Amino acid sequence: MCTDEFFALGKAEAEILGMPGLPILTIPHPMARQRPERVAELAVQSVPEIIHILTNDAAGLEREYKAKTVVSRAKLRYKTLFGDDFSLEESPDKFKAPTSLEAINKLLYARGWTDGLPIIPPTEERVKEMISHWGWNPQEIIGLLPPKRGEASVEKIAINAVMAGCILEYLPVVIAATKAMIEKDFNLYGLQTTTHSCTVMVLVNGPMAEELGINCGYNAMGQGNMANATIGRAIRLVLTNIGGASPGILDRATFGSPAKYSFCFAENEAESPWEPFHVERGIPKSLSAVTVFGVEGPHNVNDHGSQSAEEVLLTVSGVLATPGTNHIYLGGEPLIVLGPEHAQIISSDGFSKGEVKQFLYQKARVPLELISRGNLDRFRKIWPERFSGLGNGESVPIAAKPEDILVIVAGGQGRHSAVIPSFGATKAITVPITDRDGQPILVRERKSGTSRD
Amino acid sequence: MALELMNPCGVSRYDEEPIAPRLRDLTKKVLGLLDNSKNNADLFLDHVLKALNKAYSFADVLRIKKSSGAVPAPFTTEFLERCNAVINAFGD
Repeated sequence: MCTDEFFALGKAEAEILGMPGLPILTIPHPMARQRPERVAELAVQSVPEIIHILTNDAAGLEREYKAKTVVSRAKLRYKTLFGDDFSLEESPDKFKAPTSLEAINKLLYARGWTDGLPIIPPTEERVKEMISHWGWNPQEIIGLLPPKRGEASVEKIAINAVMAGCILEYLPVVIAATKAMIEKDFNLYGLQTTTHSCTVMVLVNGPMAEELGINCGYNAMGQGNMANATIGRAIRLVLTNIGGASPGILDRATFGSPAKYSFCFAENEAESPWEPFHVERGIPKSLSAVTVFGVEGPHNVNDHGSQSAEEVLLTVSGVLATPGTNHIYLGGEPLIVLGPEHAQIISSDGFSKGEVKQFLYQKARVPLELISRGNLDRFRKIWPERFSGLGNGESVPIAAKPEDILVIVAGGQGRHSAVIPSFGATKAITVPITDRDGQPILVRERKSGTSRD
Repeated sequence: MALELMNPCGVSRYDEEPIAPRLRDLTKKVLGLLDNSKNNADLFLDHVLKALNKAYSFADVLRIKKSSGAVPAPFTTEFLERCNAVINAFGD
């Protein structure tokens, strides 16, 4: 069963599983805020169709439900270029387009293949140059991206990287991030199709971050740096075009976030008083790595007055402990980005990263009185061990355990840090950046300058 | 004059499978109820079951519930092997 607004998602999932005629009963959206009496009424009204689905001729049901369409409230502007579905196996690898940049962008925008910003036309020449620079096999399949289980071949990833404006050198980072996103524990399907305003954040560690000029300092999470902007953008295009999560159709984000355009930066390892994040995750310092996080956009922590570790972390705790994130009822891995000045204050007081996590776990608590009755009822069903027995005056931590809180250092000077809430039902995944043979890429001499020199 | 561009979309390959054969009758069958933890999904399934129980006598009813809407269902071997039909509520 799906509500009518989510019928398209259910139908797409059924198609991907090879059952385009899977019977899906629709009920009016939204169900979440219906009163119990209305839920009962709708349930009883559904029973005749349920019996019809369970007992009638299978072939007839398949024809009936294959043909079923439900009009969504989303204003759909997408047209398909190749028959009914541009991701069908028989869709052509190449297609004819106008020659002017403006006309090409108009065409690809109408297909839903861009993020709304102009793209670089993915000519065969540009794509081949990017792939051959690294010697990859273009037909190598990195994995299947949900929700449409689209094949993420090296070629398809490179096409989207070209469109995003990536230079040749960025391809391994985009491929590594794609590999990481496909890991089961990342739960990319959930991230791609949720109503939650989350995105995929890409953190780069190791020598390649500096080699590629990925910003880790001032405005690291903002605009202005080509590597940050285009690598993050390539990931979003990969998710949309290969994974099939088009906004309003299979990407059900209620309002999304600017972080969905591009969210990529490097850790400021030089100014971190602790070991780099990828080392914490088991990768040697001399190697380069990518970590993907399923997160919301960043929330600044402005603290110009605190003079000690406890004081700074108290402010971070206050920003972290909010009833409006998924942490309190789904757990997950809250991400803390400490600015270098805050990191120095904290480490000067002898705090290790582990102690930072312990402190935040103890202090970042959401009082029960800040959680609505309706939410409490829901949270008690979803996480009974956490919520049962809690009474007035008690509070809920923002992680299942201190180790689930992730801490990195990034940014320039200034007394700011950031809290980046997790989607909750996801785990950060770290992978080394490797070459076509799966070997870690060491910072190497370029063939002949950069492709953008 | 036209330009040739490369298709950025991932190809989805799948073999079509028929849906499971239907049941002639629901009497003495094992019914599965999958609650995806969305608000009111449990209540909805309660009322569906109540209505179905008036018309049919099931051999058994097995219920499983996801921990949240965004994760795969925690199917057990017993659920997959014993259920003759499953009602899944609901995509929301």
